[in-house]
Amino acid sequence: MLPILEIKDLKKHYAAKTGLFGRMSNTVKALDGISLAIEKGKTFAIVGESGSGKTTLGKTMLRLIEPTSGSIIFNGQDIMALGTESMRKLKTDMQIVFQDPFGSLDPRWTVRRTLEEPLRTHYSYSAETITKKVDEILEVVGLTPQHALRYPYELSGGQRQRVGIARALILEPQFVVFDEPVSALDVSIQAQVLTLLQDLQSRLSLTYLFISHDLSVVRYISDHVGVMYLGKMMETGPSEQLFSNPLHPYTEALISAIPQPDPDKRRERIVLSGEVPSPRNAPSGCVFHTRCPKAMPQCSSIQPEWLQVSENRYIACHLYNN
Amino acid sequence: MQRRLLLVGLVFILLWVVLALLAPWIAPYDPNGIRTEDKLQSPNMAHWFGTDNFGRDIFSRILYGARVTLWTGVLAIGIACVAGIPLGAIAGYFGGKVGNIIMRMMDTLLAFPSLILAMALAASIGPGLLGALLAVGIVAMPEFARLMYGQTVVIKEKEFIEASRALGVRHTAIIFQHILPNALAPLIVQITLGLGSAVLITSSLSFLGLGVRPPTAEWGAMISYGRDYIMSGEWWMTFFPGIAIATTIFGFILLGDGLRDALDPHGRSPRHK
Repeated sequence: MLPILEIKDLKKHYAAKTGLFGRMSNTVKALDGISLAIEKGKTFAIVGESGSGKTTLGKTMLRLIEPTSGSIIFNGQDIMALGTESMRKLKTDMQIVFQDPFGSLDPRWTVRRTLEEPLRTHYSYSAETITKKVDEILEVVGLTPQHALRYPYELSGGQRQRVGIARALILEPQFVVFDEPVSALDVSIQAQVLTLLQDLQSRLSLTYLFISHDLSVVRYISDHVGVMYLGKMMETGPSEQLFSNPLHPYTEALISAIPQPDPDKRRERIVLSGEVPSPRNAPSGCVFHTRCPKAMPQCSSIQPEWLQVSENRYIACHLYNN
Repeated sequence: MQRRLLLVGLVFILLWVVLALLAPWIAPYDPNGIRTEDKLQSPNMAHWFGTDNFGRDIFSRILYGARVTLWTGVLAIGIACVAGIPLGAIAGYFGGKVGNIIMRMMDTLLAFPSLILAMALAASIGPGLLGALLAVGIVAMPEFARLMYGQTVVIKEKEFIEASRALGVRHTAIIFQHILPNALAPLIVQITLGLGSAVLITSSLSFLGLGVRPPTAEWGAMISYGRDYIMSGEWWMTFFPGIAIATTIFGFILLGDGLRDALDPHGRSPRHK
């Protein structure tokens, strides 16, 4: 199947100046050579700890953050080559839902005005058409036209996030980035919103990039998973395979940390020692070697290559380098 | 307490606005009518605030002076807002070199004492009301630019701004429809306080002969005429215009302070809700 979106060797480096007068300069590699492909109608999930670069990845894919290098191919077109105006038009096809349902809505705008903004930006519909489309999308995300008159502070977290989803979907995009869409919500609301997302995906044949640090959520919603650590992709693979048979030591450790609901089903828990190193001072070689339980001598000096190990699985680890 | 001060300020300002609007109907005399036979009368039943050295009724001149003062204040602050707010917004939103150049220019203007700068500008533009207006506007502009800059830098980092960018909304629309409305509360406070200082600086310029041309009734100019008569005992020529200037500025300051507290949701204590 053809990917709707493919990124190749995507990099985002920030120059971090340190020292007096910023004489010493350090490069923070927020994204360091990420490659992945997302199939149409599927959900690709990105997991990783805070600071792993997953949010940067999501925003860079929409060019909300300009990448340092690499290519982003959407529907066969490299969007890195697009000018400002064509990029602006492309926003009707690529959208994002943000993590914070409180901060992502203008506090001085009613829900209706917020939902009208994308339509007014891109189309010159009549007032009635706009009203109709807003009412329709409200219904799609499980709200009513009455909610349109409210201000964000009058809504609950779950309702606000539904407004955020409605705003992203009203332009009928093909691809939507969800940046931790449920992590700010109560668990009961999380389930509702996740069900809504799955329902919308099948109804509107959407493709998702789903960013999360919550592995149980990812397991529930994703078709394909990518595991990130310190700006690098450690492993990607189909969700089922990755969860049942993790290859990378980091993936293994993450999966062993998922709480097990069945107390009789014991599983060995791999506890990683230490903290995530500072991205300003990323370890040499494999970035994970400082915490890896299976580290070998070459891990600290040689960067592992991005290798295909089976049909759909890629990994960056010296353990599989032969 | 704060609420009461806000009300006091509002009463002062409304009083002057009403008096200015109704001046032609309230004023007992022509403000510029010279009657040398009535000159230098102390306050009495016919001339409540007395008369000046040309026999002009000071009460009537103060009423008409309110029109000049309020108009110049509003227009000068209008100029300051129209120039300062977009400059601050552009500097804050786009940042970089352009932003740096704009803000350093504003800093340069702020470095001068405002009256000295206003005098220099008014003198170089040429005496007269228009010169004074522009001078006061330019002097007040950097405060607005700096305030808007600070607000923009904070607001543009909010996620709803990023959401609008993700929707493809144009920069101008983001600035005018999202950033400006969210920066409005502190701007309103600054406008009110700015009106107070604009009144002070325009009357100072008029006092120095750089503002309105005679015989226009203007409070600063009236004090200037009365200056020569203070020592000889004709206090009313300076006293009443002085009170007029003081109450106007006082009113704007109270109003501005009160609005700042009223518009700041964090500073509001429960009993004022």
